[in-house]
Amino acid sequence: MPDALLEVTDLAVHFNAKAGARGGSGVVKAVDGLDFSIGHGETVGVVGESGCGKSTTGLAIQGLVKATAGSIMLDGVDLTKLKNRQVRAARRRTQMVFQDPTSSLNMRMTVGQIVAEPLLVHETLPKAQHRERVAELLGLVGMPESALDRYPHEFSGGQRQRIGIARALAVEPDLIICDEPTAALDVSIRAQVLNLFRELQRERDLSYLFISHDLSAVHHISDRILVMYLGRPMELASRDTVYNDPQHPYTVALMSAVPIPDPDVERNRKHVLLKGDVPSPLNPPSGCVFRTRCPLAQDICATDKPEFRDVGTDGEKHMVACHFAQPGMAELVASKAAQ
Amino acid sequence: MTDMQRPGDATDATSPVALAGPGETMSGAPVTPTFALSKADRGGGGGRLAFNIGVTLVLLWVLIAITIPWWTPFDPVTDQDLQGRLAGPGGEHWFGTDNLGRDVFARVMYGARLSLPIALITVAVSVAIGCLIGAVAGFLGGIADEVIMRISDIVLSFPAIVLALAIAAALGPSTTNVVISIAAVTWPEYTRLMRGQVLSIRNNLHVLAAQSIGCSRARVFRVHVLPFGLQPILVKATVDLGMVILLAAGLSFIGVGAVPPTPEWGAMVSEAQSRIDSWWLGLFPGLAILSMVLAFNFIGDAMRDRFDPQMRTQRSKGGGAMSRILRRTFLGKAGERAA
Repeated sequence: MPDALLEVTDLAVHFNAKAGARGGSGVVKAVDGLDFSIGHGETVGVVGESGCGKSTTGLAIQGLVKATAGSIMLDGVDLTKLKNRQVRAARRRTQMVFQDPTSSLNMRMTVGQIVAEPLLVHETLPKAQHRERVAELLGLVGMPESALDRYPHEFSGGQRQRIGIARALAVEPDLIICDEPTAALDVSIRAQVLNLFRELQRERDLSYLFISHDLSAVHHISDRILVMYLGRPMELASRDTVYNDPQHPYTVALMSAVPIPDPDVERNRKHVLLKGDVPSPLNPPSGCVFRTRCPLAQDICATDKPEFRDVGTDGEKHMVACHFAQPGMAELVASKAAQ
Repeated sequence: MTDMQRPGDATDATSPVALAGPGETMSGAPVTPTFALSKADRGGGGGRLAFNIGVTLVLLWVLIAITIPWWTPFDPVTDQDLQGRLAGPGGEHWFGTDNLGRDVFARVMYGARLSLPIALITVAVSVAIGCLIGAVAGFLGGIADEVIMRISDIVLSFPAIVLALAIAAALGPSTTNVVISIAAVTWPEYTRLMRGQVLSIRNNLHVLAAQSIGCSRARVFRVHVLPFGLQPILVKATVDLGMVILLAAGLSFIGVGAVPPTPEWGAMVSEAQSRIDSWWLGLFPGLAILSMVLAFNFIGDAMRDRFDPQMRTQRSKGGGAMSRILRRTFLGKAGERAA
C-alpha cells in the first residue's frame, strides 16, 4: 500500500530478561517479525491473548519502548531512527488512549490542564487560546465545558475515558493508538465510547490502531484485523474475512470464543477450545509458535517457520502465517478438535 | 462490581460520589487524604486528641515566639539583676532567675524564637536537598542511582548526633552551623524515602501517558512524578521537626551550638547542670523542649496513620475545622474539593 499512513516492517521488540529467582535469563521476544500497515482514515484492530505483544506494538510505535529491529514508517519517516528530541516531536502525529482512564490521568491536574498538556508541550497554540481549544475538545467528546476546572476523580469511568480521548485529540494527530480503551469500562459505556471513536474518525479522517482483546469491540470498529500470538502475526485481513473466513487455526479458535447473541446459532455452533497455556515467551516453540496448541499441527510445523504470506483472492490482501492455510479452515479445525 | 449487574444502573453520568469509592485506592492514583481522625480509625479516640493537642501546642509556641516582647518586661540577655540572682520561681520572676539574674521565663519564651526557625529551616533544607537527590536517583536509575544511594548509605551509617557533632565542631559554634550540620546528617533519610516513592510512581500509567503525549523527561519528572512522592515526606518532615529541635538542643548542650548569652534551650539546660540546687534553671527549658518535640510527634504520628494505605479504606471524609485548614494548606484545591 503506497499511500499508507503507517507502515510497520519486520518490527521486533526484544527485552533482556534479567535472571529471576529461578536463575533463568534470556531474551523475551515480545514482538517479532511484525508486518502491517494502516491507511489514512483506517482502523486496524489488533487482537490476541494477554501477553501476545499487542500493547508492546502500540508502545513501540509511540516510541515508548525501543524497537530492536525493523522499521516503523510514519508518512515516509522512520520513527525508529529518530533522536530523542525528534521522537518527542513525532509523538504529535500519534497519540495514545490508555486502558485505565483512572490511572492514565494525572489526578492532581484539572481536566483543563490535562487536556491542554499536549498543546503546552508541543506549543501548537499560544497559551491564551488553550482554554478555548480545550472547551472545544471537550465538546467534541461530549463533555460539558464546566468540566474544565474540575478534577478527574469527579467523573465516571466513561467520562474519564472521554477526557483521555480529548487529550489525545488536542494536537490533531493522524493516528491514535488505542490500548484497550474500553477494557475498564462498563458494557453500556463501552458502546458509547466506541461510537465516539467512529464519529471522530468520520469527522477528522483519523486512523486508529485499536488494540483489544474484546473481539466484539474490535469487530465493531475495525476495517482490518491483525491477529497476534506470542509476539508474531498470525493473520491479517479485512474484518469480515477474519470473522467469516479465517484461515489460521488460532484465529478460528479466537473467533469461536466470541459469543453470538442468538441462542439458536449459539447452541449449534462448534466451539474450539485450545488446550494448555500460552508457552513462555522466553522459550517459544520452534517453527510455528502456535504448534503446541494447534489441532492441525504436523511435523513440518516444528521444523519450518511458516511464512506470513498472502492467500487473498480477488485482490484483497489476506495474510496468514500457517502451512495449512486454506478456505474453510473453521470446519477443518472444528472437526479435528472434535476427534 | 456488583453495581454492574443492576440493570440501568451503569449510566455515563454517574455522580462522582460513586466513583470516589475505595476502588481508587487500588489504582496508583493518589487518594485524597484527610487529616481528621475519627474514632473508627484507631479503634479509640487517642489519635485525634493527640493530633489536636499537638497542633494546639505548636500554634501556642508560634504565638509566643511572635508576641513575647509585648508580655514580658525583661530582656532575655541584657536585663541582669545580680542582686536577685538564682531566685526561685514566684513573684516578679515567674520561672525564677539564673546565675546572672536574668529572667528564666523570658529566656525560655525567647528560646522559641530560636528553636522554631532552626527546626523549620533545617528540615526545609534537609527535605529540599534529600528529596531532589532521591527523586533524581529514582528517576534516572543506573549509575547515578548507585552513586547517590551509596553516599547516602555512608552518611546513614553514622549515628546522627555523632556526625552532626563532628561537623558542628569543625565549623565552630553558631546557630547557622547547627542548621548546616543537622541538615548534613538528615538528608539521606529523605533521599531514601523519595527514591522509593519515585520508583513506584514511575510505573504508574499516568507517567507513561505523559511520555506518550510528548512531555520531556524534565516535565514528566517535575509535573507527573515529583508531586506524588511528597505525601510521606510531609509526614516524616513533621516528626523530624521535633527531632531537629532535640538535636539542636543537644548540640548546644554539648557546646557546639548556640553561643552562651543566646537564650537557647539546650544551652540553658547545659548551664543548669552545674547548679542542680536551682532546679528551675533546667526544668523549664527542658519542659519547653519536651512540649515542642511531643507536639510535632503527635502531629506526625496522626498524619502517618491517616496516610497509611492500610487505614485508608472505608473511612468517611470530613472532620473538623482544623482538618479542613490543613487539607487546604497541604493539598490545595484538590483536597478541599474531595472533601
